[in-house]
Amino acid sequence: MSVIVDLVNLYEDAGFEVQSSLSTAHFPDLDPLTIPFTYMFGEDGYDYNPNGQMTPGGGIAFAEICFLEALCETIRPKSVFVIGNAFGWSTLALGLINPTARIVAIDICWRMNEVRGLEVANILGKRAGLDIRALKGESPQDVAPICAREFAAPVDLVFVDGGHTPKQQTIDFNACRAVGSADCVYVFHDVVNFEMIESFVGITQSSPDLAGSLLMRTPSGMAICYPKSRAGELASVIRAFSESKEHIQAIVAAGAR
Amino acid sequence: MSVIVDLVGLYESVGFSVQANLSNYHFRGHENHELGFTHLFDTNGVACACAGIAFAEIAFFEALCQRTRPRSVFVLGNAFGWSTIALGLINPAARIIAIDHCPSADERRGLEVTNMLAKFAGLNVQAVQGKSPDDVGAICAREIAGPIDLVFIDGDHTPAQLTIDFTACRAAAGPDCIYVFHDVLNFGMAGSFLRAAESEPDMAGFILMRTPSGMGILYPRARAAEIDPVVRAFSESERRMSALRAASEQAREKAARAKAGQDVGL
Repeated sequence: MSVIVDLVNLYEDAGFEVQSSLSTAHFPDLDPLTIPFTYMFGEDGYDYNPNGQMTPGGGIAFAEICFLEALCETIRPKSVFVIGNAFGWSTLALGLINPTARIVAIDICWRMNEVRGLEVANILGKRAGLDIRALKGESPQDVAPICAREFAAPVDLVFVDGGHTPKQQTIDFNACRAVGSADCVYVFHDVVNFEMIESFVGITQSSPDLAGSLLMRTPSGMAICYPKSRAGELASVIRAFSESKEHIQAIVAAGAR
Repeated sequence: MSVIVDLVGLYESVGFSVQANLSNYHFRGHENHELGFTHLFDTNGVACACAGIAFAEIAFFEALCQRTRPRSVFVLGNAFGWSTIALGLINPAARIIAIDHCPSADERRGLEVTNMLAKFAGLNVQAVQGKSPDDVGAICAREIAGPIDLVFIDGDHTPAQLTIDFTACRAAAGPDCIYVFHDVLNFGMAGSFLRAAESEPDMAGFILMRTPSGMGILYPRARAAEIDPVVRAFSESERRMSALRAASEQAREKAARAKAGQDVGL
């Protein structure tokens, strides 16, 4: 069953206020790029701090947690590497979903907000009894040394949610590909919402042993890249969270009318 | 873990094509929010005009049922069975009864499909034709042995019918029953929902703002310890709601100023 309740409680018990997974239908005047995602509030005194908001970047939405739950139930990763910790929402979600896995997250920490995010992720990870390490680190240069130091074996699952530019997404993937196991699965956040589709297509095309799919049934338009040898195992999960070409074409045509 | 994959797989295994949980932001030109919900297609096109619940709403039911473990569930508004089967997969040991008054042949086929898929998945699910309020008491008495533990109201989407449905279900259910209402916000039924909550002093009521349709929940205050954490996870705090309302107001004023500037040629 879902980890959503435990995840929200973990932050709220620590005194943070969570805003998450709202509908643009209910808040039509607000930014559709932010409303569906997750934000923490609660402490003042940071450079970026509107109304006590802890970090500018939105955490994954509830439906995206559902996807990670379904994926991890299938692949059962023993090690997970996250690029882009922010305030630890995805890192802790992955920890709760995979309570026996080693989870390592890095963040470049542009502001003190993200430094606090590392502390919070580590404190809450410990509180929940999870094997989580959130560290300051920059992609690509710190990826290999941190993974070598923090993991006993190559990584099973990577979650790329760092600098949201096409170029950085490719850089992040290449850095992670060097530390991933042969069976490693790569998940990318915000691919559609931040116009990184071309970069994602380039990533899949540059790796003939990997298959890729856009997960159109996730609010940010996540994407997944995985070894073709695992296609059978992953097919049902990917089908459940992506949309058929026929439906997409029909929706686009209806929108154009 | 989530039943979403099994649910999609079940419909696809019998030849239906599922469209679900899409974002309006990804598909320009779609003003309403129907894309966020579930639509089933067969070779002739849309199998049923009514949309099914969204993925985050399935996650809500998973969280709720994980804590409350209902032994019996009553669904008002089966359509093509998406929610009925979801509740069956979430509660494989429970008895699930769904009714639909079947205004068209699509819903009658929906009952058949629901029962077929339930059998296929080994679930104790029965979807039958029935109208609220007239048939609720008789069908529940016939089909469910003990008190009803969970009701899902997703019938005709009008404020008056929501009240009628709730009253009929309340009379058929036990005192510990939990009531979940779909589409409360999206179909302008918040007033009716709040009146239902006010009429039941022993029950707590909340709008679940973190569900795409703006679902509502009513539950006995005696069960607060069990249910409150789930409600908190799927609703927004009053403080956040105030901040969001204020931000909306500011955005509207900014848009109005910008439009006024355009109108005078600035």
